[in-house]
Amino acid sequence: MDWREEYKSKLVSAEEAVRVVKSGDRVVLPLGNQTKVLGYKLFERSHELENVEIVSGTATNYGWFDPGYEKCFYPNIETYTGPGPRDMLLERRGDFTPNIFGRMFKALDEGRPGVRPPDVVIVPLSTPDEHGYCSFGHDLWAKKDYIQRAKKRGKLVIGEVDDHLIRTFGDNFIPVSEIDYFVDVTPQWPTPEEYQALLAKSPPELLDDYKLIFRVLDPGQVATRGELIMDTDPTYIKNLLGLGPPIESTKAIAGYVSTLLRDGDVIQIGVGEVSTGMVKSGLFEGRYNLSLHTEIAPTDTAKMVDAGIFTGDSHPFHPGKIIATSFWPSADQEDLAIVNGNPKFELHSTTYVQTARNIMQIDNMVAINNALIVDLAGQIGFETLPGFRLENGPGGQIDFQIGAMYSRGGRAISLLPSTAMGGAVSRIVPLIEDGALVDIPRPLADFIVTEYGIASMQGKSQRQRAEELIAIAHPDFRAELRKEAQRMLYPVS
Amino acid sequence: MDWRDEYKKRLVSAEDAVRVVRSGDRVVIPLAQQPDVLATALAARKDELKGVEILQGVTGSVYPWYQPGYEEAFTINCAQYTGPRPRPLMWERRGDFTPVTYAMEFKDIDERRPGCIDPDVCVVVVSPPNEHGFCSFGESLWEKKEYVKRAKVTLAEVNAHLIRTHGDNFVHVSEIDHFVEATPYEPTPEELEEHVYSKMPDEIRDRFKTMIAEVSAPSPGLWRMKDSMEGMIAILGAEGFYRLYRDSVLGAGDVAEHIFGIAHYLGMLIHDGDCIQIGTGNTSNPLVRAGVFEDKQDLGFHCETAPPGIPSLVYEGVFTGRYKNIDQGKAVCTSFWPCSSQNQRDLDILNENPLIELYGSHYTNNASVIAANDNHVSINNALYVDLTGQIASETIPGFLLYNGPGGQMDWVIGALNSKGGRSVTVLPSMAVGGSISRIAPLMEEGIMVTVPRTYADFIVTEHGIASLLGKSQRKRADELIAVAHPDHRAELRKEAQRLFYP
Repeated sequence: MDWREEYKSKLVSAEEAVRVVKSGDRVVLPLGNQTKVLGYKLFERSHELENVEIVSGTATNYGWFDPGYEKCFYPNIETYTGPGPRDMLLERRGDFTPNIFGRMFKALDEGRPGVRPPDVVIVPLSTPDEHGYCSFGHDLWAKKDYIQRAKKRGKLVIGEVDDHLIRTFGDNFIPVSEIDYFVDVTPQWPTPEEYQALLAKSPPELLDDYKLIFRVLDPGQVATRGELIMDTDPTYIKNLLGLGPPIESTKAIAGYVSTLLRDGDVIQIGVGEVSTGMVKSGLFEGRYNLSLHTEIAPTDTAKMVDAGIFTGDSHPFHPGKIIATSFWPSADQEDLAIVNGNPKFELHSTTYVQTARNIMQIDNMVAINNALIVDLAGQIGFETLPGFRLENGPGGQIDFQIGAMYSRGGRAISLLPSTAMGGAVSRIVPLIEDGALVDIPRPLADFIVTEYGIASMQGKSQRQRAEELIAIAHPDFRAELRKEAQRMLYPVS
Repeated sequence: MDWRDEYKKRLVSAEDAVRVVRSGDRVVIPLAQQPDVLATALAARKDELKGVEILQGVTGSVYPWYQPGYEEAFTINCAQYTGPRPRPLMWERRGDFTPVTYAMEFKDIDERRPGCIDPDVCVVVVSPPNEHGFCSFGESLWEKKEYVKRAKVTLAEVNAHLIRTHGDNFVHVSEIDHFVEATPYEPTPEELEEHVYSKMPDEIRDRFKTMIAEVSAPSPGLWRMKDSMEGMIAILGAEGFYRLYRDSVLGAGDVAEHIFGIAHYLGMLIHDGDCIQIGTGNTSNPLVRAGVFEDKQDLGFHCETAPPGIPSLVYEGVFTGRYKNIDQGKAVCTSFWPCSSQNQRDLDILNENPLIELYGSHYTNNASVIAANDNHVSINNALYVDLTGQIASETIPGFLLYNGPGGQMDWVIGALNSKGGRSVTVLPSMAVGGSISRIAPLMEEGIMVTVPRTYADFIVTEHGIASLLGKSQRKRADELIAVAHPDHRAELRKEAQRLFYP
């Protein structure tokens, strides 16, 4: 059958599409750009469904994260929580699967006991191109991998089509034949006049915030939910989108981190307030011939490529290319227009980009990531806070750390503002305890950078590590940390 | 110059050799094959030296500088792993410790990290040179050759008993600055009886002698016990001392009941053709004697240090390496110390056997190398596992260092990045004594996490297999509670409820 006929025959309404979900199913809405319609449509069936497991990453709350729907939906957040499901998880109303991106499918692929394949996978897609391939847009992650696993076992895949999604090079496409149902929800993008009408509702002091939000936000979202956006605190949205103001300490941290970089390095940099703030503070300015092998391409990637900072020439497997698994939410609509159909930029599956086995083959791999807490032994935590509070999730960070450590000339840099809660607590603590998890064991710790300097862990003894870390702690906490170090690491005198 | 002349020229007394050490030097005694003669000579200089850092790997010796009173002359810095002998020193915080994995041991100095310290003097034990002028490191290589390359001066004790193996286990005479001939004394049976066995506590003596006969333990190693035995018994107790020799040194004697249980479940996770790494420890060592590999075919072996009994399994054709992607047909590891050092049966198999190759620990433990073999199965010990899946193998509560990270994380990473690979953690459900569950709700304060939960895979106790990979938090807790000791399950279930449910 010609793909055009196939596509047409698979086009259904949103209501029809979500009707395939049965009670007890495992429904996966993979991490990345979210459905605009299907999530809500499935949630509308809460009165007739029971015990449907919703597997998703950091995600839109279609309703099932709210209390009262526990009988119908069992949210199981995979890999990373973020702001959408965070409260639900902090109240322990759902479950969390600490898979890491690079190995999300190992258990399923290798037939580990008790691991279920998805029954239904729901993903946003572009319309097919002339060869019958749909794109996942600016945001690939593990969507293609999930579709492949579902199809292999005869399970169902629903594609929500938005014609506005961009196409990129790399492995960011899926043929029409792999999708069981298509639902075309392509929204009418707002006209400039409609944007103006929305902005007219903003109080003058918030106008700049909303302008910034609209520059980044998918116009489709603006079209369907413009009113809601105008009713929401823009600071909240900005934080969701990683557009918050840079933390004060980031400029100082960026200064130290830049001394650890060399031209020709292959860079991974996490997204988060601190790391994003560093890019904005000019971390990479003045560098030449860097490559990028990263999860979410950092903010201003397109501009830095244009400036010759990132050429990709030192990437061993993809010379001359910019390698990532997502361009969102770091790229604004202007950047996405540059990426669209541009062979310089490639999106690959998160299972390829973020697996330690591949990363460690890259010489001079530099992983730059955010940390929440570091103890004097050098143990690093980046997902939980004391009290077993899950703030993020493991994501792919551990494999970038490992990959960088086993890479020849590789470096792993953990970014850590010295204090939290407005300076009330030190992020450098004597020992990680009380339900904060250790994400990076101490032998794999490398450089830890605060606004007070760089602590270097490799090859260092326990006493040396403690000294290095105390020297970069906030001055107000150093005396106490020194006392603790004395108690932990020196004989009673 | 002919190597024979070179060797002769470099032969000195122990006292002369250690004279190269100056105050403030970093002296490295790399892991295993302890240079007792040189260490004793160096310790004797305590009144004339100041601030000499001794960076040492695991050792079977109780060196003089473990005692109080040596602090001014020597700072003890244990690397990677402590083992039982320096434990009192570490627990009294009189020594320092460097947590580094074997794969990354030289990253800091090779890549000139800030504050890295080059070794000044390296002290090793080698065999006499062969006809080409190459000395062997015996049954235990580790990072010794790498340190010899990087140290400014190398001192070597020559022990004529050391075997030769294939692989990269040799160093040329020209690489060593001073040789000291120090082949250990071979006592007569009467001397052993008088100086060793007679001082052994009655309750273990007969069992000990039976084990020695079972493996034909070489007498120089037993003779060495005469100086350290009493100290070791003071640290471990008579029964602990017996178990250490039974499971970690001789690899003989009885096998505890719970080990058969663990072996039964572990056997279900190992398939024909798998490539095996198995750590050394009180749980993993006797698993070999419990027969966990015996009914398998064409296993591969790529390991760090091997438990007792592995050489026999190579000899008998269980480990053929037929399906390995690299080093095909060879059993590869970096050491058979301490587990085969006192096992003459093993040593005879290892000596010049082309099927068995020793390589530096920077190679064996490189996660890329490990992951290059498909179906790599890593089997390692742990002290605690918590309900989130965090694995701890180094410390006990109160930040007391029991072992060290060693190479465990290298193997776990390698196994989980290997196609079809599995990482298995073996541990008894209870700590010795039976009152403490090794499956804990969350890690207590001061326990170092050796393996983060994202790298936890199979956990095996005598009660079954917990499979954690791909599992949610609640399911992980269920799996782990099911393999905890029945006496502790109710309590753990209550904690799981508190941690993971509203």
